[in-house]
Amino acid sequence: MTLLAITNVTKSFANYRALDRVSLDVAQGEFISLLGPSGCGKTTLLRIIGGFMSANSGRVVIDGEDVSVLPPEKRPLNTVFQNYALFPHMTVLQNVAYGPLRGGASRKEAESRAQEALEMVGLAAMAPRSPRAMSGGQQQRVALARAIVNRPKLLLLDEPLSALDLQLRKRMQIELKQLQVQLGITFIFVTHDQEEAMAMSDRIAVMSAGHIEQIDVPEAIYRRPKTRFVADFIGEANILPMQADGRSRAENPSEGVLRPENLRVFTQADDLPAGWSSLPGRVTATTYVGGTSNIYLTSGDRTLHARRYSALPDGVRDGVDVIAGFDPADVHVLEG
Amino acid sequence: MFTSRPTLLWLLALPVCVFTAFFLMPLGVVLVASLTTQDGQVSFAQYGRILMDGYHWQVIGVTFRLAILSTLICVVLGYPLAWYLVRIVQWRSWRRACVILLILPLFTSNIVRSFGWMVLLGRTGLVNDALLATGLVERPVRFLGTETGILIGLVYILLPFTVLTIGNALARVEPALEQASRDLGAGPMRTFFSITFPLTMHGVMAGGIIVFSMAISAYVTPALLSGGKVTVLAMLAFQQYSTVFDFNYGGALSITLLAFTMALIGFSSWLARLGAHDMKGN
Repeated sequence: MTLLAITNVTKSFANYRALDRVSLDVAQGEFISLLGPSGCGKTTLLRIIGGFMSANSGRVVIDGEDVSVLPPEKRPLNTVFQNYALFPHMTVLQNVAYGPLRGGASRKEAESRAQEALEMVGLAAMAPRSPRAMSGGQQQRVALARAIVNRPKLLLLDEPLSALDLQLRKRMQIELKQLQVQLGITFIFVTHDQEEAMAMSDRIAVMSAGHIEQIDVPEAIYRRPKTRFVADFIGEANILPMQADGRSRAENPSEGVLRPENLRVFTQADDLPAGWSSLPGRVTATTYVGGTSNIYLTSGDRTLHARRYSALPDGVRDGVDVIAGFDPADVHVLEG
Repeated sequence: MFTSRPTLLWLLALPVCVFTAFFLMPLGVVLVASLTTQDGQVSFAQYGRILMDGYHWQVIGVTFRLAILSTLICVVLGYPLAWYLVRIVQWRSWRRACVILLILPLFTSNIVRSFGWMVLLGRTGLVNDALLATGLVERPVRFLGTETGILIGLVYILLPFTVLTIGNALARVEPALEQASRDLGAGPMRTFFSITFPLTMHGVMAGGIIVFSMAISAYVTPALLSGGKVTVLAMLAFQQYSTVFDFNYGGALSITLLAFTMALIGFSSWLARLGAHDMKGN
């Protein structure tokens, strides 16, 4: 069932177009990420869904109701803001109880619901404290509790983990995902961190320059990127011209993407498996980190990147001439 | 940061000297004068003379009524003005122009400004002409020599202080906080009273205290706009010093004004803290 339907949303600012006829359907209970570099329009889209900004044209429909012209307080959704936006003059409990109070709950009921939401994020003991005296991670949980206490149909998250350190971010990613499954709330998660998007999302919408480049499940985004932008933005990619091995399915000469883990490096041409394509190259750098070895080589005017999840092959050192080989079936042809 | 004790003493020495010489000493002289009779004996007679007399209470009443009203009006007018400057104006040069317009009156002499109002508020002044022309009144309104006239003059001079302090506080309120409030289901009014206003309370208080202390001690504006018909405490004190040369009685009037002012500011700060505490949960 479609919970959120965005149709042809366009937003222009004085000198540039932030969103260009963006359409997006999100199913009930889905965890969807809007992923892209800064300035791609992802935050603008989130703000239009939340009602903090109005689109120049297009419609936003939530649960069958056109909310395009409704103010934020009338929309059946809540938001976790980038810098948490906790009310500094209220305690943690008052922050979380604010939503239920506005929804017409009695003070007692609002506070018990707030307490319950704080328990869900593991902060029940912090209720009487001031949010100003809390760490970033704790503030983030309070913001989350405040946003889910009203059990919205849709939760918007605006880069909520970007201010946390790496370890805490990884832990929060898992907790957020668990919470989402547990509550069954639809999440729209804005991020510029592709690993974060890959780790958490049911589907990822990769955005660039005001439009959605591709929307699909994380694996498909990684393995079958539609455009060169997506291929480059998600993970690392070797871009190969397709006429080289004649496998181009496109009518025009196009490009193919080969992920580094599918490129192997051989010291002798004889080692190449049958049916594989090869490119001659020279090693320019190697690294070995955490069980993964990376080999960077130049082949003509191209830089290639090969990765394997084991030690560097014997005889592969900087400056050595090698043969880069790959199975043509692993090359994915780009559309654009 | 560590500063050694002798260094600290040296750093503090200058401000302490200035403060003592130019503030504590004169205040001490006034205080001592207020506690002595004209033949040099210590007594509370001067204060008795003030507090036992109904006329003085009436003057104190007028003084405080004018100061409290100008403070309230300045806050009530200053808040929307500050809102306009901080939230509505997008164009930076227009905002700068507005701020300059706002503080421009402060660059001219108090006396000049008050005379200006005397011209404007007179029977045939611009204000009455306008009121008559629009048909709002049938006869010219008497402003000069009334508390209303003084109030207009005081508010005009003191308004910039509330606009600036409130505007400053307003600019520090993160827009995300108001958005969060809307997001959680509060309408614009609710958001203002639950989030924006409490968070700008310190600016309102700061502006209020500045305006109040300047209004209560104002001399030139009330003196010129009263036409001798309304008297405030500062005018009484000035008379004693300048015409009667009764420094003891004048001193007692000044100290009385100071004591009442501090009591009222203390009381309102306490009230504001109490109010802020109450408002949190709502």
